[in-house]
Amino acid sequence: MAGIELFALILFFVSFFAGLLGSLIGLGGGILVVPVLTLVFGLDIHLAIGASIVSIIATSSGAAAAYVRDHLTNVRAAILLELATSTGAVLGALLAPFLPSRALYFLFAGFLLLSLGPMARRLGEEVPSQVRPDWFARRLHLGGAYPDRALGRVVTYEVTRVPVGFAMMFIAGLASALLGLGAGSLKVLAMDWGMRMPMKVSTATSNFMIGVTAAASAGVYFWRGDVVPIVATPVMLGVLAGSLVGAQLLLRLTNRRVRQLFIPILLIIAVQMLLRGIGVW
Amino acid sequence: MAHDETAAQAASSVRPDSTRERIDLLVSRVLRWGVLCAAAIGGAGFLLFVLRGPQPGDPQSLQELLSLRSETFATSLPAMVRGISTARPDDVMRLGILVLILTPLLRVALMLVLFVLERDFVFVAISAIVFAILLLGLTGSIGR
Repeated sequence: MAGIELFALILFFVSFFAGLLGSLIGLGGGILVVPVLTLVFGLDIHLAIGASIVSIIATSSGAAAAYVRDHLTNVRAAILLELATSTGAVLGALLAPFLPSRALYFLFAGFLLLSLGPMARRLGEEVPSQVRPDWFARRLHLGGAYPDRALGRVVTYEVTRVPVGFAMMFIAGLASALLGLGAGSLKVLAMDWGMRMPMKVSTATSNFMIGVTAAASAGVYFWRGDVVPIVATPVMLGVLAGSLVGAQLLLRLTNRRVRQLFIPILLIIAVQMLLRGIGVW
Repeated sequence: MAHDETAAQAASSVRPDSTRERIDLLVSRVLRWGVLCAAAIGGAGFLLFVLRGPQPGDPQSLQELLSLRSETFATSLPAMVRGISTARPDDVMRLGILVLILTPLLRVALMLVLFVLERDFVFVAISAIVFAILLLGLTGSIGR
């Protein structure tokens, strides 16, 4: 019995870091929780994904309260893009029996690796300049402004290439339904690279959106018993605590620093996806 | 040059009004309270587990817990209510997790209402579709 409690304690601390990291770079923390549960503790992958879905929602709702209040989250862009991710997820769920998930892992990994170049080229960029809003951005008022504590001024930004971002979000939704991921990395890329939003706005808005993506598939896992309470509760509590700390951190970090953090994580996720595609893990 | 700047401002996609401020504040509050509720209930359930230990039918040791298979503990609302009424640690923890899972749904519902009040009908339609899909997912109608 003491074993279970020690396990819960370890899980709490792992989840704290997952929540901290996830809230900073707009991902769900599944990249940390799933490997620890399956590789270190040998838990069934379905139960690990059940816990990771809880971790994604906790990261999202935990940090979003702070990000939304400070206008770092672009709420209008988020709900528009959630239309893309959720319809993508429905299509993914319908297609799941007919699509080989292995090929999808390769596709996902390849996409992330391809994006590393453009990402690295913009390492020095603090706030995108010379962004001309496209017709959709103007029509739907997608631009925004946030007080940047690191820069000490209000940053006003425009949004562009909405169809590109929308299409990438549709694919992110498809991938999350087929592979049981939050696909936060794709979401950040869709906004940062696709729609030219500032890096911190991209990660905060992705963070806001992954909760909805995860909640859409959470029901299935929850009712069929794949969310094991004694596993998922320490994960939830740890991630919530971590995301509260992470949210305070992001407000003080520069866009440049967030991008520096994001690139190595992108590489790690790409390798994880490749390994799963090969079938090693 | 100056002409260029005014042209860019006219074509800006940033909305000048203050409704954004109000929406952001409300959404932020709903998320904060949802998360606090989930953490409080989950924490209480975990405390119950520490005090009462694994119940009959639960995995009794760490080894048993880690060798659990998928779909062993399917649950339902009536089963959860029964468990909570007898302070079963697992079901109290389940309730905490369920509250957490409901927070994104709640904030989409809130945004839907706020867009209706703002008479922003494009966004009313968008959030209504997202809400409907989310609802289907949560009841378990979408997915493998």
